[in-house]
Amino acid sequence: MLALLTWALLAFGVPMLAQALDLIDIFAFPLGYFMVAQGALIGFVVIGLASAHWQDRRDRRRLAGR
Amino acid sequence: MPLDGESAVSEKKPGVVVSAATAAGVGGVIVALLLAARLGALAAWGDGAYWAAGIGIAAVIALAAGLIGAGRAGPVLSGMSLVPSVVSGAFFVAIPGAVFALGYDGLSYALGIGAGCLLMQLLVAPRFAASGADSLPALLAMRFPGRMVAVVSGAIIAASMIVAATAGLMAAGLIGTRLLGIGFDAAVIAAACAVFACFIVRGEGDASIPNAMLYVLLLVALLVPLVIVSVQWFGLPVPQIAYANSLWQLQGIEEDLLGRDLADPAYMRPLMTAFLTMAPINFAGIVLALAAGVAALPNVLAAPLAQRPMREARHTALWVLGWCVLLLTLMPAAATYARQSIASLIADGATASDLPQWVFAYGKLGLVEVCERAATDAATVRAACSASLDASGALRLQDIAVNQDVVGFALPEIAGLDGGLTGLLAVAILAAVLVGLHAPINVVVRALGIDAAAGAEDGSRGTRIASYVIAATIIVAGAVLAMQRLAPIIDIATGSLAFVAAGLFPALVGALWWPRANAWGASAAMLAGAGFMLLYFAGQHYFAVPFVEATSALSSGGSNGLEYFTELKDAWLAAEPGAEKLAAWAALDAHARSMADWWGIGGAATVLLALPVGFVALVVVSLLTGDPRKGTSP
Repeated sequence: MLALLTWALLAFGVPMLAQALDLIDIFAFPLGYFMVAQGALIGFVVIGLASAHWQDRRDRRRLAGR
Repeated sequence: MPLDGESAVSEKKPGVVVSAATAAGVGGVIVALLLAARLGALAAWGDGAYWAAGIGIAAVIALAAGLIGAGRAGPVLSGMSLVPSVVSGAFFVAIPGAVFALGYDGLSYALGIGAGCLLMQLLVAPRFAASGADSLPALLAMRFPGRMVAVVSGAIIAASMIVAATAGLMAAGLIGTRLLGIGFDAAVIAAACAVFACFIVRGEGDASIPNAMLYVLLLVALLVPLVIVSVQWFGLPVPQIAYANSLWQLQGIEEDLLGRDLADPAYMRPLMTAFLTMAPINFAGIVLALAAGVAALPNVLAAPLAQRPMREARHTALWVLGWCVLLLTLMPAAATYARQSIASLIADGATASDLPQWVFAYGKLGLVEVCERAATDAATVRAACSASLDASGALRLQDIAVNQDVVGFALPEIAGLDGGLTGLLAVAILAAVLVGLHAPINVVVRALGIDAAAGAEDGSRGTRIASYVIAATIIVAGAVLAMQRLAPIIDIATGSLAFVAAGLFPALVGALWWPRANAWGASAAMLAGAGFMLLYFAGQHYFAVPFVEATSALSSGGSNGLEYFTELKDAWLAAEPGAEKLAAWAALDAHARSMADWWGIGGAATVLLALPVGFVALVVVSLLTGDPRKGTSP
């Protein structure tokens, strides 16, 4: 659920705020552009990793609980 | 699974050998092509060699897939092998082009595909794997028994996959015209024949490793030119970071051009400025369309994800996401380098007489226009520009118009690198299209109820022939549509995914997550979602006037637009029959089309409206009809 919320925020929230975020620079990119071109995608991978980790742990616990 | 456990073991050994041989072969071709590029062999061999190499690689991959048998790759390789289905050859060409043409707004396509991979991992892949179904049609049939769901989903899958084939064949056709110098239509037909041949020779074995090789080929072909440009221009071998410099330099050059009157402000589309070409709501709509489309993509929900432990499917999907992101983050860099090359050309004071060779190479194909005429040779350009330019003859930024569809593979030439690198990109894209179209065609064959694997096993010729007929129908339909060149490739490829999203996503989510969903609800969801997409599209493009009249309150035109609409309508009603009436209707229709929308939503972004419609239909109809768990529903 948390993963889906973060997903929605990155996919839909961040692009809308591009103009505001552009005021800050990161790696020489304006932040808004960077977030949409790369940051959000990297964020997806992080969510994916974290979620896979949590799900695996939950599955293991469930198996152990049986 | 066609093979039982024992024979799978015995098959394993040749599988490993064939995989290794394929890997070595494809790797060898990459190295050979890179060497050829260094030696400048492009001119010596003729560009046709690259075309042949693309076909050859596709054939090798298709054949290898048949030989390997039912082996299984781990999540890393399985994930890699699915990327060419998600980022198809068409998207691979089209996304750099979209960023090139639309700037920031073009990033929505890359963002949407990445978002889709994550959505697939979170919502779809694990439960799909646990369901025991081996394809999306099989899952729907298992969860919603009965003919109705099978027919509706089959129709939606067939329609969307035909559109996907159209986009792929357009990409292959463009590459064919560039490499072979033949007409676009002929190149599309040649590519279509090659796709069909690949479909026939391909076996039903596990294609993970050959497809993973295809990904490596795509990645190398895009990475090599970008790394070279990054090092040459900025001394930094990581394109994803180096192109930040290019963004700023491009901005500087464009401002300089404006100052020197070499660029028209009306034509300027600064790469970093958001929402120049589309409203924010349409940006979000494209992201949603691609995300839901990728998550429900029938040709991805196939063997590498099916019938596995949930954990394995989850990690495979995670790797799909990771490999996709690696590819997607490179694409804006390609677009930026191409833009900067062209802007520098103008800033250096290029005239009609000293344009680089690539302008004419693509100009001959009608893909580059200089001074609003196809740049076939220097004389044509001089003639076209003599009227519009001042005495110095310096070209302006708006005078060079590069078709966005070629940027994805012409980048090396545009950036002044060796033409052989374009050849490598062309080979990779061609192979990706030819091999990649197998999965969409195959899933239609499955959706229409023909099990090609079973046919191959019991040797029933009827099944095989039926599958060939379906494949041929899809390819011919795709080729005919491709020849129309209705829109840039990106719009066609996105349209295919948008239709998948609107038609299949709600039913798929219902099948996996909501036990109460039944066949009536799933059919209603599919019909409502896909039907809404089609009706809205038809209303916007063909019935704009009634569309505006019926839903004027929701239109983005506002009260001014509506007032003007009423004015034009009165003029049309009052006009005398004949030419005057027709002219009045044309004006009315044109204005109606500009405001025939709800909240400004249009194109693929219609998914923003179609998805809720589909989900509502799923819930309402499921609740009104029987509970499938009690066995009272069909």
